[in-house]
Amino acid sequence: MGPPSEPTPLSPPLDDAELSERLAQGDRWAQEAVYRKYVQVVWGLALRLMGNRADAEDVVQDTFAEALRDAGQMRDRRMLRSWLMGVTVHQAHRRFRKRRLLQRLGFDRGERTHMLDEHIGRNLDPELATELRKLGERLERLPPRQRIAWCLRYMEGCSLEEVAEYCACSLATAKRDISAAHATLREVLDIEEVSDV
Amino acid sequence: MSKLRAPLKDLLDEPLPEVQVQRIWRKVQAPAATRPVLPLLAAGCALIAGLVIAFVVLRPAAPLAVNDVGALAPTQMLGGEYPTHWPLTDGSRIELGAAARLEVVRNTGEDFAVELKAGHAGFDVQPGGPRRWSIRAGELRVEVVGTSFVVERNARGVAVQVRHGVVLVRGPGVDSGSQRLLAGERVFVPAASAQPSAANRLAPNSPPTAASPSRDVSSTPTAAPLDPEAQVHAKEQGPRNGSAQADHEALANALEPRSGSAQPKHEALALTQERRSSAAQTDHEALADALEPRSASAQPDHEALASAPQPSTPGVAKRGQVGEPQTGPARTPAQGPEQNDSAFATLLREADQARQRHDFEGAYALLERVRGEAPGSVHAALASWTMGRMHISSDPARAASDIAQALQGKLPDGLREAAQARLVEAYTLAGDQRAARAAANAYRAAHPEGRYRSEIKRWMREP
Repeated sequence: MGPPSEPTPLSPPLDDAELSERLAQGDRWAQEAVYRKYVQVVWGLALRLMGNRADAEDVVQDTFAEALRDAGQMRDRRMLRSWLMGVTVHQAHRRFRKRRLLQRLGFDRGERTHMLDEHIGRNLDPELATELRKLGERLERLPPRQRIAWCLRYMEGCSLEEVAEYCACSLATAKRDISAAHATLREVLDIEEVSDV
Repeated sequence: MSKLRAPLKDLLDEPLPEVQVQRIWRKVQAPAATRPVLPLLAAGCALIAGLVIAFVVLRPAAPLAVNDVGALAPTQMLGGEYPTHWPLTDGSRIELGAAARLEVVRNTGEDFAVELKAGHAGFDVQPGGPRRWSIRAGELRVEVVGTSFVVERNARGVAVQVRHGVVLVRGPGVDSGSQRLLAGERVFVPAASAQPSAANRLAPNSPPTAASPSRDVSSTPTAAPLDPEAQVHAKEQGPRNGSAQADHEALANALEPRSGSAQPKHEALALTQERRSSAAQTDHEALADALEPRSASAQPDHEALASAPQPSTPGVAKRGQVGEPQTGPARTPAQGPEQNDSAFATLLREADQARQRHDFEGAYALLERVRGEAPGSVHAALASWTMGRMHISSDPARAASDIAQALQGKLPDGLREAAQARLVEAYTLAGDQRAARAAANAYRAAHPEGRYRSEIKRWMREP
């Protein structure tokens, strides 16, 4: 952690470029400011990717730990949000790999399900809620790479280019993973196609 | 059925409570302190590794056993009429010469004690082993942890020669009761160990002393003869690159009963530094060859071969092979039978030296000369045997002829089994399967439990 710095008034709020700059310099105030600003975004993404709160919490923690440590490596300081999304996806991938390793070693029986039903809005149409529960079950069976790509595309509403960037893969690979996941999910769910969001 | 529309996150309600936000932030600020998984994992691995090492190291070792045979029980006697070798389960080896008898006294995980009743025994003890080796030969006791050495016992006394490593020799006939022998050193204690000062150190580069004025034998090949008793009491410290076989040969000479005053007195110790150095390789090979099967490329050494048991003319082949001044190839053998023997032994030695210089033509010429000038003698047989060994890879048919000639001659008994086996190999390499089969049958008839049986089987199967 960097040296303590003088409090900076929150009004007017600092833009991402300045926050990133101070973050890169190890400014502790900026670190907390970034965390506060984006923790809910990162949490939501992590929860939807991972499907359960425990894994999501670990992903959030690792994401911000990495962000605070490697802020200096950010290429475009204005793209703080995108950069954090990418770090979150990277951490989700890591968490899936670790889960698979634990399963192979017999420490994880892999019986969890995607907990979408826990997060369904209270005022949601019951039919949609049922569909979302089915979606959660099906998502758990998808390969992690396809699952992450599909979630970014259909849950987060990312463009294909963003999916490719966050997944650190080519556009073609992103398209292929999304299509494969979507084809599987379409077997049991009625999901509207997205041309681009 | 309602249609799901992207982005689905709009349908989900999943805020992170403030308590959780603060908790995660605390963890982010001190990630190492809150995630001790890796250090714990590393500590666990280190602990397991330590336990495994402790188990392996501290586990009581099992008693020694002979590979594929079984444990060596106390009172068990090893050895027999023919040379034998005993590979042990810890990687150590015991090599027994013909008619050697070795009794197992104690065999536990910590101690392995044997007693050499008679004969020649080589010990190659695996270094770092868990047990203490102890070899008793008469009054002499050799203690060792990891080394290679030879013990020989006969009516005249006990000799110990260290090939490499360090051994501790204890006994009433040893100076100060115990002596530490390094590689290349040897000690001899006479059977009548009532002479406690008999075993004296003899260093090749040490100046002569009043008590043993001629013991600095390494400085000159024509050193004055030692007192016959003093010489066999001497402990000689050879150069580190000296050969085991040369030392073994000297030991054998020292142990060999002499034929009165006609026998040169300094033979055992008059090996020069120069000769030791040049003879190192083949001397060593010859020792191993006499004790175990060797590869076809191994070359014998005349000096060692000549010192092999020769019931008909004991000691004759040894004369001249050690301590004799070197003479040129053109030298004519002397007139008397003993002088002739000495001259032929010298020629054989010179052939060895030529071979070591890779002067194979010169070696052949000398060996041919020995065969031509001493037909029917031990030396001629040794020359034939050597030529056979030299030809076995390049001209196996000629090698077979040479070895057969050696076998028809007076090849020492200690080499006959090896020669019979190599004859099979030579015939096989030459493609003469019929002769190879006949030679193999002859070998099996002469040595039903011979140590070359497996090699012969392999040669016959894979020419």
